[in-house]
Amino acid sequence: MNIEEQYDKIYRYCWYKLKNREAAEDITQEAFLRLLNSGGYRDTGRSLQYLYTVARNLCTDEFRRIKPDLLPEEVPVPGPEEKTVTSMVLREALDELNPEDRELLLLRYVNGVRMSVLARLYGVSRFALYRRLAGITEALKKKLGGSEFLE
Amino acid sequence: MNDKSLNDKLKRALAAEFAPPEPMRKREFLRKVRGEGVSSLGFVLIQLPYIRKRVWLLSLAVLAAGVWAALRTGPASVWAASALMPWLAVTAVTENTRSAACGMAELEMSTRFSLGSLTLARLGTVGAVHFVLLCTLSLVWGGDGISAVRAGIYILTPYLLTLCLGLPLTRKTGGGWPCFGAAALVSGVGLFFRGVRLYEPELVKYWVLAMALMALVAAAEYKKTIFSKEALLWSLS
Repeated sequence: MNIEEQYDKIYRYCWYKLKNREAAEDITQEAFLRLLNSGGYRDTGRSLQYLYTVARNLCTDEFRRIKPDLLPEEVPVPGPEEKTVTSMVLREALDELNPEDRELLLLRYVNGVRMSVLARLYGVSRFALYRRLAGITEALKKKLGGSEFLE
Repeated sequence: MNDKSLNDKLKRALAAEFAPPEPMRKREFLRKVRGEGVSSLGFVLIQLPYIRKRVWLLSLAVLAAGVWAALRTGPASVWAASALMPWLAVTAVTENTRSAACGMAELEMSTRFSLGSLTLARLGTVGAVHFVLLCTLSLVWGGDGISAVRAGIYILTPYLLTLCLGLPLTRKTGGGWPCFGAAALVSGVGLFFRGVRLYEPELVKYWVLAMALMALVAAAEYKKTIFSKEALLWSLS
């Protein structure tokens, strides 16, 4: 496993969940430290599942511990004024999806997590996951209808 | 219903949409973590001194006996080398039972590296050394009337057969002694049938077939042995 590459991906996932750089980075590092201290998981090819499970649970704990509105507001790069019209269209389409579906899109299409890992992470069969992803992408495409992404 | 359901442009746009701010402490963390880690080669080198000396001594003894017999009797007596090989395989298999035999399995499972990794490193190291040794013996036994490749087939097949029998036996019993029985059986069969054209050129194709089959079975048995250690770890955690 390429730790540097996975660090970026786990950090992106944590940041998506918390929208706070400090907390996201703390949780990313904690997840890696726990993985490195658990030889069993590290050697059985389930490192990714372990990392995402720990990161998700820690993010949930953090979310409960500090109310989201108390977390310092951080705006992702680029800022709204720098965004192109097409990315704003995409943002609006994503906003219309439910948070779980957005998370699945991030994990599958941005972080490139394998279907087998995702299926174990969500506790569903691969077939069910394929169907769910197909539904999400279909819904996203419908919301983007006619935009340049579909050309 | 796969990655093709989103085009590259949309995937790039999604990546930009989910892009977080640059992490602040990544380099420092990675430097610290890597400093504590051990490379694969480093891990194997750490394990090297823990392989029992008798494994190396017995391997050397088999090599010496093989070379001596080749020089003394010539390629026609390749059956002697073939009968020696099961005893070489015993050293590889019994190394796998060392933790359990010495009552150290529990301790090894609680250490920094899993028992499966230790077994893989040790069996891999012994296997690599044996491979070099078998190649050397094949070259030594090859000569007039018998090629080095044919000699290699006669030498490798009983080695693999002993692995195929010894690995499941040691896995089930936890001790190395059943492997000695398997080696004696394979060696004895080779010696017993040496007079009934077992090593005739027309039977080489069957030897090749048997060797290929045993190579596959031995690989599967190695895999099962490594995973059995991990299953033990998981059931204890």
